[in-house]
Amino acid sequence: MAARPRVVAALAAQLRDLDAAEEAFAGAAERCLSLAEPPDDYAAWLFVAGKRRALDAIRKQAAEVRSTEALAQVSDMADILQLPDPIPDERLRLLFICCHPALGAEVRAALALKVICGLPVDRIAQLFVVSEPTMFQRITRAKAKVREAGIAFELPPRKAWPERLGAVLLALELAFTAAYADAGGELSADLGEDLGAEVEHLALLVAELLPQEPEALGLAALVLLARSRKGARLDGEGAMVPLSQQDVARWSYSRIEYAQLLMDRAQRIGRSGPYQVMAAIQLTHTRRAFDGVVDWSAVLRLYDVLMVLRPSPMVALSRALALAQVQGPEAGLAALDALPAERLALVRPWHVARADLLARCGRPEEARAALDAALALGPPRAERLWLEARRAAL
Amino acid sequence: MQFMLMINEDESPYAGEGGAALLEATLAGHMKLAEDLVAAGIPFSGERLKPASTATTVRSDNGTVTLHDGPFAETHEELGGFYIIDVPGLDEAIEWAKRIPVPKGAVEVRPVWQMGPES
Repeated sequence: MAARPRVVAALAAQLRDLDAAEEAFAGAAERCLSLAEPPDDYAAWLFVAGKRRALDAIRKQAAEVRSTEALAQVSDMADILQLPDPIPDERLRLLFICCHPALGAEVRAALALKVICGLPVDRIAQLFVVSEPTMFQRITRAKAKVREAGIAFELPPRKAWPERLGAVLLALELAFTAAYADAGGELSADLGEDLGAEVEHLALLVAELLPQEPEALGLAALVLLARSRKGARLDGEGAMVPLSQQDVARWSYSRIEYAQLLMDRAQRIGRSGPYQVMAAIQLTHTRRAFDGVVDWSAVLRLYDVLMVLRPSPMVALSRALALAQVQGPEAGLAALDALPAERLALVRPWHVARADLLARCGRPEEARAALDAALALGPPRAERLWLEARRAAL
Repeated sequence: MQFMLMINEDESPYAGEGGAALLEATLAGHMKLAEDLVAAGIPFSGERLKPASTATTVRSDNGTVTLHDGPFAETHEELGGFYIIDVPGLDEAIEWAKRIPVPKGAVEVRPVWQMGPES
């Protein structure tokens, strides 16, 4: 349901309970599917139906335990049903609640992905590289804490925003990573909504609300730049097209211009950070549309900076590919092989990068083996088609 | 909403050199905090406890009750006192917890289970 983030956020804001909001939404969505005729306005219908379901659930609970607490809630709920549509946009409020500093740093972004984006727990566990039961437990515990510990369901006062910003940006970054890895739209089809569009909306909202936070501007620019290539990422057969081979005529230049504007603003504030550097890398790639070539030494320098600001095997991997463009494939391959191979064995881009550099070093047999290793990790369809084509071309 | 702010303090700085002055300053800080709570119109209560060396623990295990000399948990930081405050939510409780004078230690913030019809 494309309406999910908006409707769940509005329900949570009124019910003051993340679990109840998710359950009410799920129930309403199920009923919606059984309707003979679809409603004119999905979001409004789901919101009202969700509220009714929540009310029924609380009444049932009240009847069972005759608890005065639950009965008091029912009188509140009667007021809730009187509230007029259209539904309020509470997504940002919910995002900040999920990122409350009283919740563990390791769960904040995950909670936001679960509750707001509706990402399934197994996907979230993959993004955080933990097991599914561990992630499930973390999210369950966090939801209970939000419900019981007195965490306010209000948008926090402005002075509290910067403190929560790191987790907010991380949640958006990871949601975006999940959306971006999904070139063929399989995850979006599962979720029934365009996750990338949702993240773009939220990232722009955060940037708008915190114009003095250069990292918020940097992340919004990063999302816009990646989204600008949406129309160029698949070929006629649905295979992924890598950035360097995309048809620049199919990029969205309004997004690129907006990203440039945000980055100029961030630069004037004068506090650099990883998101700004990542956006600068993407912008350098975008220059291909104007200059005809990519300035790989500039890309390499930016990756060097990123390795200082936020070192990770994935950044090191991207840096090795940039190094290969500047100093040749042997240098790139040497840099790749210096990385902890055992930690990267399950990471597709690692095998794909090795295949690329091995092929360019004139070692097709090893390149083929690396592509086989990538294919064995079960890539989404668009990536699989692309990898198979590369393998055939070796 | 009621919260208990539990002060888990390392007692040793009060015993060392300059400990008496530190204790005096900390107690003055608590007096000031109480005044601020009153001025802010926040219902509260609280107590200071005697040192952990005075503690006796009554431990139960399936009907067998034993007494232990000393606090419930052997740590460097002992429960030294507490406040119970009535504020709108966790954010306000955390703000007040940050204002509790603690030379070395931590303040645990826990919502109090609400009983009866007033909730």
